[in-house]
Amino acid sequence: MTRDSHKCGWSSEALVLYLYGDLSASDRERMGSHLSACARCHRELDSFRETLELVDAADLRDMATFRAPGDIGELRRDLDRLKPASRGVAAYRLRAFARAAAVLLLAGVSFLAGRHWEQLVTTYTLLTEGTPQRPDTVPGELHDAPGDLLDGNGLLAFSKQTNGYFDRSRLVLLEFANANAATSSPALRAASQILLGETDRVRQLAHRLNDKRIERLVSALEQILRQIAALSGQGDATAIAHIKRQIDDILDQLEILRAAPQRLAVRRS
Amino acid sequence: MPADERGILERIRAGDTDAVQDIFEQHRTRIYRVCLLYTENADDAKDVLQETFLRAYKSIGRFRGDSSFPTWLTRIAINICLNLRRSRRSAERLDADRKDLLEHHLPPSAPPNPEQALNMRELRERIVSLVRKLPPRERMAFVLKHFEQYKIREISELMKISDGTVKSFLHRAVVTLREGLAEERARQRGRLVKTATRPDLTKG
Repeated sequence: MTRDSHKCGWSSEALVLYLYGDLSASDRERMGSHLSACARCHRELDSFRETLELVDAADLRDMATFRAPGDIGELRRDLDRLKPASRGVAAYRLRAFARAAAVLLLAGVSFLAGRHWEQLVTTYTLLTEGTPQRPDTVPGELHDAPGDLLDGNGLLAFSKQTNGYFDRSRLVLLEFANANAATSSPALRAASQILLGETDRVRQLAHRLNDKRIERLVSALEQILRQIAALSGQGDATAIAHIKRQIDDILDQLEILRAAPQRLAVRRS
Repeated sequence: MPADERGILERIRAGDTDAVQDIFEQHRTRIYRVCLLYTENADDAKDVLQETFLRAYKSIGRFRGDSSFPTWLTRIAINICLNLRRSRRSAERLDADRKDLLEHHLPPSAPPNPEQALNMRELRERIVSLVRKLPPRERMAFVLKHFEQYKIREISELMKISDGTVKSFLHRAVVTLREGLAEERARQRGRLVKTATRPDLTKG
């Protein structure tokens, strides 16, 4: 499977694009003229056309259309659990940023003092314990305190046993996402390293939970944390931008986990 | 952006979850079709569909209108599809997945020839199997191009890859399908030949 050019100069790839109508007008015209003179290209074009006609004959598109689900019930239930977008976005991000900044400060102090993450989280929890309740809490609304209890016995146990691994990871990712684009902080790299050190244990716990989605999330987090931990602290702008693009997807999954954990509950073995 | 779509997006930004239903109705068939053709598993496709709209609702503040809303929505779905990690599955599960895509669909008129029906069913299964075996991004490019008729530039934008890469993926996918289908037809022809040359045992 290559883009080999025939001796005539036209590539096999160009024939496929010709069939799909994706050559420029001038190339299409030249190809049309060429096909009348080149038996080899003509044969290959016919073979591609026959292939695509067989795919069409299988009628897969119509089958998939026929089966599209129309039930929005489950989606509505999940949406109702989420914080309303407009009320939350700016205020939520401000709170998240403030908390992430607090973590950063503590991470920096802890890093310099050589303290463990567990002590860092304990200190953070003590600092935020006195935070006044938000007046607009509704069932299932997002909470920002680390180690927040989740619905579902399995996930609750998982959160306790991992000391809120997902919450802590989320804080690190949030801080990274909001940080300066040009350099990475030593504290964040250190925090990532600590979380990476827990990954094997967390993955085993996820496996015992028998939830493939949790396991996938752990693996995805591990990849991101490795990248953050590997930053050198200088000239990282390209790598940082690349990591930030990946963080959005993971943050979404972590938010869904917090807001609607049953969506990531065991579905099928 | 169409005025009605702009209105719906404003409602979503204002926290109106009813507006999500409107968007869902408009786009669910297309999104689900892409997901099902890519995953070939109804459960996964439905999950991706649900997550797509959930994430769209959560991330609506990030939609800046640089691309059209359907494109943005499709991009979310594609991202989720491409990030799906397949756990190792048993042969039984694979068969069940193929059935998800193949069953419950009756052609307008069933072919009168049972042999034809069998051949079509086998062909369909073979095509589903071949598409499934394509590498994920080739598979996605092929699904978007062949089944959804997106332009190369649109696929490039949806998958965040260059036009050249899209063309390359598309070409490789079609070549793979051609080779696989050629094998299938050779196999079917071989079976027909064996059938045709079977001796007539009724004659003494």
